[in-house]
Amino acid sequence: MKRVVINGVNHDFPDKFVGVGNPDATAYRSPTGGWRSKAGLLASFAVLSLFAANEKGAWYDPSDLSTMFVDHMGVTSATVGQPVGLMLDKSQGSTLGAEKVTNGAPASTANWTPSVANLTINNGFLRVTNSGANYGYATQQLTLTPGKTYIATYEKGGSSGVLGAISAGPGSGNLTYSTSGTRLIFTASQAAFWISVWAGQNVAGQYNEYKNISVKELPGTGHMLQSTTSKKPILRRNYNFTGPELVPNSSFSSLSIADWQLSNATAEVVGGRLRVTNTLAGSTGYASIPITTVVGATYRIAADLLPGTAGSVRLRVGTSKGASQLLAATSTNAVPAEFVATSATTWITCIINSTTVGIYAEWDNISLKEGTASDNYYLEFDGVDDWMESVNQAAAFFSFAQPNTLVGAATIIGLTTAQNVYGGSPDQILGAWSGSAVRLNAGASTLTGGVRISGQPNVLIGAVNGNTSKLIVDGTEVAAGAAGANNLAGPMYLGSYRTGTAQYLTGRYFGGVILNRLLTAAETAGITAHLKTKTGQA
Amino acid sequence: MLVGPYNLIVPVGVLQNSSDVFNILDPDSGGSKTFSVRLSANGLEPATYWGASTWLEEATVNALKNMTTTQFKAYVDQVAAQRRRTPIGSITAFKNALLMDNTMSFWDFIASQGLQRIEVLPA
Repeated sequence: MKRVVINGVNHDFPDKFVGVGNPDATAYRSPTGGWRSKAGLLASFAVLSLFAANEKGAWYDPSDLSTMFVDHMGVTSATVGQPVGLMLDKSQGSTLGAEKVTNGAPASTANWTPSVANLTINNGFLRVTNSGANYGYATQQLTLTPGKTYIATYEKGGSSGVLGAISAGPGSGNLTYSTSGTRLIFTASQAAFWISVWAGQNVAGQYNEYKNISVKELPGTGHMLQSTTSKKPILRRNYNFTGPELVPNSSFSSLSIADWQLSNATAEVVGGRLRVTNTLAGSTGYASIPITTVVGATYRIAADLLPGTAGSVRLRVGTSKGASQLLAATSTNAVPAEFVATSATTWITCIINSTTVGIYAEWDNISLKEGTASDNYYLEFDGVDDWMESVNQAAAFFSFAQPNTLVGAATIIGLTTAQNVYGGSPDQILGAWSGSAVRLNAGASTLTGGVRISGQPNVLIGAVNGNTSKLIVDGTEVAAGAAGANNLAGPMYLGSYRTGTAQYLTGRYFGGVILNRLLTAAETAGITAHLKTKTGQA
Repeated sequence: MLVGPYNLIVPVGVLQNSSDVFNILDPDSGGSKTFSVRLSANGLEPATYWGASTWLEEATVNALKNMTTTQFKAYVDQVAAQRRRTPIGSITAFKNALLMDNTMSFWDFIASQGLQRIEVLPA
């Protein structure tokens, strides 16, 4: 028996468990009595403990919806199915800093400087009224910390009809950050920063009222943002697909394909695969199978698509035989995919991408399972132009000398191109290499290893430490050696190569950690187990 | 509420006008960088088109799909005033050249236009 402190709590382990790595170790003695599972302990890993000694880094958690926003200024909270322009770094907790605004309640107009406006107090609100046909405002200079991120809030009062706005910037009345909403998140570029509240449009007499005007520092400095909507990933809810297989003989382990209905084609099982062959010139033959589904339920379809003699192959999901309302997969990258059933019967169609008689294509492991909504969420990156960037481009936040650690839980779809979960600058990369390998790169050398399955989630850990770097996948070390000597110099990119111009991620990001030190074995096991709960692997 | 994704392609000659329009239409502040995917017939430089896969406000979808250039200009001017974004003189080049789709994947859409992505790692 040995006592080990994990997350500040004493735990008594049987000797075989200590040192982790013993595959037989499955239990530990809880400090409150009795034996508990090792998996349960690790899944409850406190991520904040990684930063307890004032380590630099970041912790991203898309499942914490309070940290997700549609716009990069944090005005609108993100909901499922919407783009995400700001993901807050949770590494320093959630306690806001001290109030930076003086007389924000306000009791008088003191501390507020008018610009082409008249300031009065009305029922506890600061009323800002245009003195002429100008954009009038009241402003206050704050002293902030450059590189730190702040949240500005206020309460709305009366208005003469046109919405007021709050803005922040490195100048009086500056509109660097502005919104007509009641929350604004911004990063100070210099110590002297101004907060301004506006009268409205440039109409004489126009007014708006404000109270409880507040600016406080947000903890954490590694916040990820994207201010261009086309480049924002989408917030999605994670589903678990552990239910029964709905496609009969899905792996074609027998010759039974009686449930498949044919159109201008023949079908047979050849070599453990479904082979569909065209029988009518000018037509694309297909085989379809009806599956009973629940309207509104989420399903996951997976399949191996094999071109055969057709050269390419397709898979459709729709509400009638041969239809593709729910999915039109034209490449292996398109599956697995999820869809919401819109009818009591959903049809899966294997269609040949050729109109020549005798041409065939093949499919295998066609799987359809109903999903159960989990409490976890992820960012969906489209592989076209989606990426995020750490907020402090100019600051030295992500300037970490080696050793350091990149941790990311992600589903990477596709095996033919390099894709990045993280792309640091200069050249510190954790992601997928072309083919099935995972890679870690920190300059002149690249560490590759592991066998990745397209569409399956993995917890990737890159321990960057010169010639003794390690690449760990799902808790197992898959490669060790030289990964390059680059130090991380920021900014950090999520879902792309540094600069956000290439090697885009097609897939899902469930969360992760960036840390300016290496992890211990226990921490490696803990963060892996924690993130596996996010992906649905555990 | 944003809807999408929508595939957008514009010829390289109207990239500036397109970026100016999206500087206004994007509810966030980075709309001028909407078109970031370089495209050409053979996947090699130089780019002849620029693309994007984006989510859009429903009103913008309606404007792009159904409005005449005159109506669209009025819509863009209205949004610019609301957001205090820089107004633009003409939207005609963008409106007439835009290719827009939401029925297929981005890759199928560019393939249907005879285009491929140009991807080169920066130095």
